[in-house]
Amino acid sequence: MFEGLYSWSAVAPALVVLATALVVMMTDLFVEPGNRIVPWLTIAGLFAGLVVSISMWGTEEVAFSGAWKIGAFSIYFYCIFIVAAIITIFFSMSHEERRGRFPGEYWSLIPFSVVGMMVMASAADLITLIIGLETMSLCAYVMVGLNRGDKRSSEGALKYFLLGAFASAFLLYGTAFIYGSVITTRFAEITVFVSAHSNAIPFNLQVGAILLLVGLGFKVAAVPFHMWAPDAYQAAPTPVTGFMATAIKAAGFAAIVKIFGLMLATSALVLQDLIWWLALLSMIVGNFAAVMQMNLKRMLAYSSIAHVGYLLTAIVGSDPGVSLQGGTGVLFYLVSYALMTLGAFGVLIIIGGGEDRRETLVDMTGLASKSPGLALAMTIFMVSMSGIPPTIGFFGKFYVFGAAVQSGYTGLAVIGILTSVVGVFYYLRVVVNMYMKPAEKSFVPWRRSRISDITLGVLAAAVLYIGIFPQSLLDLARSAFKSLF
Amino acid sequence: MSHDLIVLGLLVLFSLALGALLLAIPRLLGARSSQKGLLDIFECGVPLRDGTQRRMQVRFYLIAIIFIVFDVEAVFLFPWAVLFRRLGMFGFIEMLFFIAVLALGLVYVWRKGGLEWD
Amino acid sequence: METALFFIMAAIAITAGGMVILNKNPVKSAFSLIVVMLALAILYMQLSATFLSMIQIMVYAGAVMVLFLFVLFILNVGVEGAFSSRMYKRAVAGLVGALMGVVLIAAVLMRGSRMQQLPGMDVAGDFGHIKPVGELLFTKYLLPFELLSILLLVAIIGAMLTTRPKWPKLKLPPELWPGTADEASTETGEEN
Repeated sequence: MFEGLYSWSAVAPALVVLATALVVMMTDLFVEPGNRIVPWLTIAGLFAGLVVSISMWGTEEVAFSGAWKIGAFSIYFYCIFIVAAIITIFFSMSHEERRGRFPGEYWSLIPFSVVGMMVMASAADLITLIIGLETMSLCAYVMVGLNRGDKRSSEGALKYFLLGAFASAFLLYGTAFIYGSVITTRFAEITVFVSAHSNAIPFNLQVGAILLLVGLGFKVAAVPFHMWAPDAYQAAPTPVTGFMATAIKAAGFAAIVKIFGLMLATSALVLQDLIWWLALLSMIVGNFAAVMQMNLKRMLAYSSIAHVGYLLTAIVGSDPGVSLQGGTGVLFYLVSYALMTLGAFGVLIIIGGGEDRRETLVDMTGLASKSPGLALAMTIFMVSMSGIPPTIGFFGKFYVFGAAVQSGYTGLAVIGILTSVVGVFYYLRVVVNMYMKPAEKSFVPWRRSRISDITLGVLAAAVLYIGIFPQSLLDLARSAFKSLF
Repeated sequence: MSHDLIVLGLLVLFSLALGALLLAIPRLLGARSSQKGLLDIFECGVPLRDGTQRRMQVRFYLIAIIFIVFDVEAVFLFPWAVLFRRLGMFGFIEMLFFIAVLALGLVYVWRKGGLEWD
Repeated sequence: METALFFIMAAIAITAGGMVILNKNPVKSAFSLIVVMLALAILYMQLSATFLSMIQIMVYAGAVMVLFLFVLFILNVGVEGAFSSRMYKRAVAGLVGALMGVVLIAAVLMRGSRMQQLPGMDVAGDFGHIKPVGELLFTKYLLPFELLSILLLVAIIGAMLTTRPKWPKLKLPPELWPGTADEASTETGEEN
């Protein structure tokens, strides 16, 4: 009765990370608080997960009677999640040395959330996807609220939790509607149903698809479902903010690509127009609101909303049967966005000195003379975020807008480019402050940490290297997207 | 109307009757005392300083949450118990994994002092 | 007999539901909610969804209600405190409620025209009983079922972290100690 139901090899990478989370959780219980072995154990386990994932590149397997599909797509995302988690832990360790404020559970919450993300990246079933998403989100809610003494922080965490729970209700309700009209939650079966009934999509399926879009829109903070993002980003300890902006967003887009780029990518659904509006509003609101922010964490929060808009541009109207460019662009952009965002938050973490209090534009003044290396790294990340060559950010935008033009949405691409110009203003304002203005506040020197310096250097080098030679990453992204169907 | 529902209805009726009976017996047999002071809040003879409604500690919340988590776990034990013979060793191992993960949670709560009051 | 039972239970559920929102004392509202849940459990049972009915009693009428009551005690919501005295807030709430009521009634009335029955939608006679649910849980939905234990574990960790009064003190030199109380207050003062 149960032969061939489960498969160890299909879940091996996720199992390694899960085992890491459990071992770290148990180790933390039996060592004294603040022991450095706990984060190092997490890094070792995540690294093992990364090795297992990469070694499985090229294999493809559907397991658990169709609820799980591991292939190049999942492994591509596994690598994003795990690398982002490792970098976050490196930053957190150097961050923590000055404050000692992360509880021991923090080091196990990161791998637990990575498990949730991995489930999202390889789920081939709506219920499985939602459980992965909930696992990830629960970890995120707790990590955002780690600054417990701070009222502002608790407020941000509470907002994030309430709106996130609300969004989950939308996802579940949408799933119920879809099950009600298709009698299945498996992606493959829904795809078959949608293409068979493309001239008469049941009303309930339309409703379910819209509810799913609203729920996932909340999770990736697309306008008009973005209200929580600036508060939550500002409330969280800066390493957690970096993790949220990169890994959690990438996981959300793994789900969006699978559901809206593939499963429900048909013009018979009204979805395409809605995604078009989401992309447009996210780009406009994100960029213009970011101009007004003096706090860099809030600025990066609005800029991340704008980047969601750029990503959605590639998904609108992308028909994988015609062209692979849309999905490939999204996958490429997610890596580029993860590298530069982690770098930018890394700089904020280092100069914030563990108290998260040097995080405004004014605090950046005169950084170039105080610490030329940090200023140079920040410049590279900001230039990349504004999409100027020769950085990875340029190619990311190039592929994403190129996909939109190819699928006939030239207007949206033009608006994207115009709003990117607004982006150039507020990203380069940071650079101007660092190089051309004298320090307005006297600097309290921060302790240097070799780990975070090296991590930052590697990130900056990667942003430049892929910015000059993007082809190999693009090939990886294409074969990853291709493996989906 | 299935047989099961009739049994269930009888159970509900029986429990209602039992509750009513347990309330009625002391009414009928017990001695009655109707002094007003009996209903007052007792505070060592000193006049009351504040009300009985006070903010409770947040620890109750933790206990309620842990209760819910293990309650949900128990709900999933039912289908397994009903199908125990058919599922055999396979179901046993699956359930073992499910319970083991949550048992780790119990160990965690225990070690972190979540079950202690102070 | 079954129709009679349905109407009795529906009437109980609606009356208790009204009491939930009309009671001035939030604790009484919570207890009325238990009655709603129990009535719903019996309605589920009539739809032969025994597993759902059992969950309704064990998890909702049991554990979730305990949580509700604890939260009410923790927040110490007074008899009047639960109600907003602002007239416009009441008006908005009433409007939203009325709108949702209209939508729900419309959905029920329109069910014949909009929700067409698709081929293959017939379900087995024992659909919803514990046995078929268990069979699905251990075959088709085995993976989500196992993942659920991880979700619950994370929920435990989250609950512990957010409610623990104090985190254990670290053995750090004094200059590396966490921010003191006055630092935290300046931090909130700088809000923009």
